[in-house]
Amino acid sequence: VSAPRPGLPAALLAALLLLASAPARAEAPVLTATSHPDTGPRVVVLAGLPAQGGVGLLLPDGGRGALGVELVGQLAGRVAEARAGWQLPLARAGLFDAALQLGGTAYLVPVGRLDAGLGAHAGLFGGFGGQPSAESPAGVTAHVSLGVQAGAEVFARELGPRVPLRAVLAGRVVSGPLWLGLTARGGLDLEPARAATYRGEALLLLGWTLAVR
Amino acid sequence: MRRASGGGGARRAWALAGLLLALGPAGCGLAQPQAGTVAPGAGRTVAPGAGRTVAAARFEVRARHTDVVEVEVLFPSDAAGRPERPPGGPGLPALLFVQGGGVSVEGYRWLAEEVARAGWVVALPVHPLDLAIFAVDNGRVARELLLAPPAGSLLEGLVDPARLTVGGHSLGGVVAVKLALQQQAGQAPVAAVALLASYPDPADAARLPSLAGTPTLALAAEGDCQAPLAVVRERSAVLPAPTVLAVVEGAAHFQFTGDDAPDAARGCASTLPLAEAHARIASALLTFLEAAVDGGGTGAEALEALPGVRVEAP
Repeated sequence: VSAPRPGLPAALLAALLLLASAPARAEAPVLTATSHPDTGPRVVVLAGLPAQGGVGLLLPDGGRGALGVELVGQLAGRVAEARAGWQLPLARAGLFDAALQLGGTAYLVPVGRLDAGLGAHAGLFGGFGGQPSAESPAGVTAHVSLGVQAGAEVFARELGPRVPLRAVLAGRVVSGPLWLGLTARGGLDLEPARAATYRGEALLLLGWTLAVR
Repeated sequence: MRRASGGGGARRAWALAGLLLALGPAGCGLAQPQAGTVAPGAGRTVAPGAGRTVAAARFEVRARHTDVVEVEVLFPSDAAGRPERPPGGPGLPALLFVQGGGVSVEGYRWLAEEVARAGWVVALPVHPLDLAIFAVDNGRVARELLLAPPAGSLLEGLVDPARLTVGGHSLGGVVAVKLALQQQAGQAPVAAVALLASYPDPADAARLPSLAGTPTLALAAEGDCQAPLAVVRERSAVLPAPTVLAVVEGAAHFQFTGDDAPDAARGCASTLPLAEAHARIASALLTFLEAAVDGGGTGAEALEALPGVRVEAP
């Protein structure tokens, strides 16, 4: 039976292909899905695979956490999403840190049968990397996080609940006002009486630090 | 927390972005066609309805709340691509066919056309990465499309729910068995299961007895390197009666698809020409399907009579 052959290269290839698959995606907030508290407020443009795009606003709270708000359009599923996530730093030791994420997502499904949904999400992240740009404004800093996200989502037409489980790999690079992020997520959705659906996505985040007053 | 600057302008920009993101997807609805595109020429038709016109249409179905699942549907049609509905009858028999791993649904277009020319509706659900195991649920979605199609679409009233069958090639056969086992409350059981170069997932073994009484075909290729005949023979032995194991002589794994080059690439090329392999495969599948929906049997005797096909276990 033709299935991917075992072995690391095949697994990596399958993971990459999964990330490029049209109907696969994840829906928890992404801007705050890291272990590292950001500093400056930023406006962010999101684009990724499978076909999706959006805008976001990242509002740090002086190193004590950050609020991220995202509006995302999923072109493959023709779904609009509004997401908000709050990042709570848990621990920091040298270059290593950990953070908790709490968030929610609202869905609007305007195509086909009109539908709407709400989801609550939580994430836990650990990572390491340099200091954010405000502390070294002229230099380039980088940070990498690894974490997990889980949630519970309900919908108006068919209640669900849908339970998304994801592993998250996030990288962030800051250079002056420019902020660049790459987030890859993979996992599955669980739903009562249905087979699990495997999901994945890769997102490029391009941000710009806003002037503050 | 410090406030971002740009007050009114920023708010207007956010409002506009939100509006665009919310309304953008609404600009294009789900495809629920009323007619299809007529397939070119009869080609190497082996079906009883040789010369019958066949059309194909691509449906989009909302699934799992936020997903859109594509389902390719082939059906007997008139010259304009509209379905030929049986006058006053119960509808047409249908085959829900699951693609093999890494093979696009286009790779089974030849088989779907042959089956459709015999008067069947064939549904080919599309899966992420052409790996059905990543979204087994897509088959359920295709089944619901056939049984409860959108009002006004070409599928409305076209399928006889009592003659809905499932099948699949390779990894798709594994998933087809899972679909047959996913009996929804209030739904009629599938009328037959056809496994092409495939066998059930051992994880489903405990539930297979629930398929007792459902005619099942294990159609193996004699020269298959991906699903070797010996393995198909062993694994299909757990299928409950009535089950028939038939072997397409000289055929290889990818000759169930539209392109057998992967067999050669794996050093497993068949000497049987692809067109001849297709003729044998389509004849065997149709012989089984017709027998299954007409009388509930496997058509083992008729299969045995087909050239290039031998029956190992009736």
